[in-house]
Amino acid sequence: MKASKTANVISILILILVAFITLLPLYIMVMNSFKTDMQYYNSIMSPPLRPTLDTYRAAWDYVAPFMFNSLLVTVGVTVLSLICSTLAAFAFYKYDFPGKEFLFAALLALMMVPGFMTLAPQFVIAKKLKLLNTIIIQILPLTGATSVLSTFLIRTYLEGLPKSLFEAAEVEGANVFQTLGLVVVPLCTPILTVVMINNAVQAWNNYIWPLVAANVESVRPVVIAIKNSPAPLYITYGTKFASYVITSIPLLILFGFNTRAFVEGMTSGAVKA
Amino acid sequence: MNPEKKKRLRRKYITVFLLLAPLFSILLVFKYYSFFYSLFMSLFNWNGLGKAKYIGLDNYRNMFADAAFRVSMKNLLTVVLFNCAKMLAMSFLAAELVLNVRNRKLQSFFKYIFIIPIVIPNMVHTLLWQWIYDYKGLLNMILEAGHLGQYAKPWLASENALWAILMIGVPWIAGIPFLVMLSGLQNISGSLYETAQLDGCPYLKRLWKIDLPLIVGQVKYILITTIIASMQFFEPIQVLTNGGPGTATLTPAMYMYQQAFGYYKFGYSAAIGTIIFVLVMIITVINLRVLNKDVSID
Repeated sequence: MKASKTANVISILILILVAFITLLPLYIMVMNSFKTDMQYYNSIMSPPLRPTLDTYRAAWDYVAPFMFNSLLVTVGVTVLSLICSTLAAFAFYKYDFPGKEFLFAALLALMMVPGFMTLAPQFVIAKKLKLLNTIIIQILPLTGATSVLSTFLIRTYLEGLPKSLFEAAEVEGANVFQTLGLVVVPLCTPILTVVMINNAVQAWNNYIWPLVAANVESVRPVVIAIKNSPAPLYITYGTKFASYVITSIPLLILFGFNTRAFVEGMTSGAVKA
Repeated sequence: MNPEKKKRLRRKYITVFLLLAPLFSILLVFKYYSFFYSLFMSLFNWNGLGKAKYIGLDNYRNMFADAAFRVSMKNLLTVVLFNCAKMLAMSFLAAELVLNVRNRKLQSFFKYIFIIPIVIPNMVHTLLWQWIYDYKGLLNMILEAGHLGQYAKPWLASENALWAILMIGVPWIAGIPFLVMLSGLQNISGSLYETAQLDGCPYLKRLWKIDLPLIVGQVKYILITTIIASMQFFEPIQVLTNGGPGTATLTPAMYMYQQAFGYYKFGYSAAIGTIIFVLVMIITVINLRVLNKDVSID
């Protein structure tokens, strides 16, 4: 059904206003990242008249190694989580085994456990395993945490597909891994994209856990590195904003390549409760 | 059972085991073990290094007598109620507005605009708002420009700090709840609207009587995810105010973090975590019960 003309016009006007407020902080971040302090104090709203890249050079010199750490962690979490949750979801979907429902309920129950509750015990475990201040300790707990919802989403998605698709593969005599690689993964691309982006966002955002378990220069993630204007970024406002822009770019790129798939996956109903 | 069948069954169980092993081995070490360890720890007085001393339920008794903990629970109530209200209201309104847009291209343009904030790192978002609330920041600049300079203040260091933090991200059309609402509304059949229109049903009445009841499932989903997320709310607080000034922005999660990693009271901190876990569990169970009761609404 089409909305009336007035509703259409009024809605567009309100949406423009709302979109403006939503994007304003991002606009200010980008515009001022190209300004010297003098230009910043002149006007924070205007676009940079003579854009400078010095801010980006200074910011990059500081954040580059931390960006690399975050990239390692994010790729690690995303890949491991995709593997773990696809395998587990397929097992829950395909096979009957004793204790199946209990195991699945135990998995979902983890969603009720507040993340901060496991923080201190995880710290103690990491210390015992001698994994404090490493990349791997930033990856493993988060892989577990993100895989819970991912497994649920992938299983739900699989249940919605016609069974015949899998039977065909079986008749052909495909083994489990062939079925997974040749049938499950291609069929689940929409939900796998949603899961991938969600988990990558979480991994890149991960803050409290590394703050506790991996807060040394060599493995520190970028989100900790840019916090509270550290000295190298405090030179000018522009440098600070430039470091924010740099920190935002990887997720924007990932999202940019998968926008359509992500939005379709999210709105397809797969993510409904 | 013949040996052939037995062999097949064994192979199946081995396959299941291999498929589940990667996920559950990680979860066993870092989640299940941690969870029970935390419950157990809440009965001890332990600084994380020395010997733990069993003290029964003393941590829980101390907690209920602790003024700071009580303030944190009061703040938590504010956070949960306000977050639920803002998430539901804004994502519903935004979804309705987007559906009113006739031009398809423009419609998806707005859709994408409201998704962008999801992929901006939380830390960047938080730091931008730190700058907005700064004494020399955007909010005070706007106040000065509007001749309201006398209201300017360092917002995050003021008695309004909690509200300042809750207002972060205004107008809160943050991606996922918005998308969930939108997909719910898109699934409502057009004929229903046409009937309503023929009956002369006014727009606002339609929103209330048709749209809302038909997306009850989505509303509940957003509600439960918002509640669970709000119960754990503390990263922006840790970055911006560390619970202060005083206890103005203290939430149980923030308090727990301080107790564990600031004062090394691991047992006490675990007791706070247990209480929050129990609350989340109760809310989830209630929600599931209610959710299962009226699935007929679809």
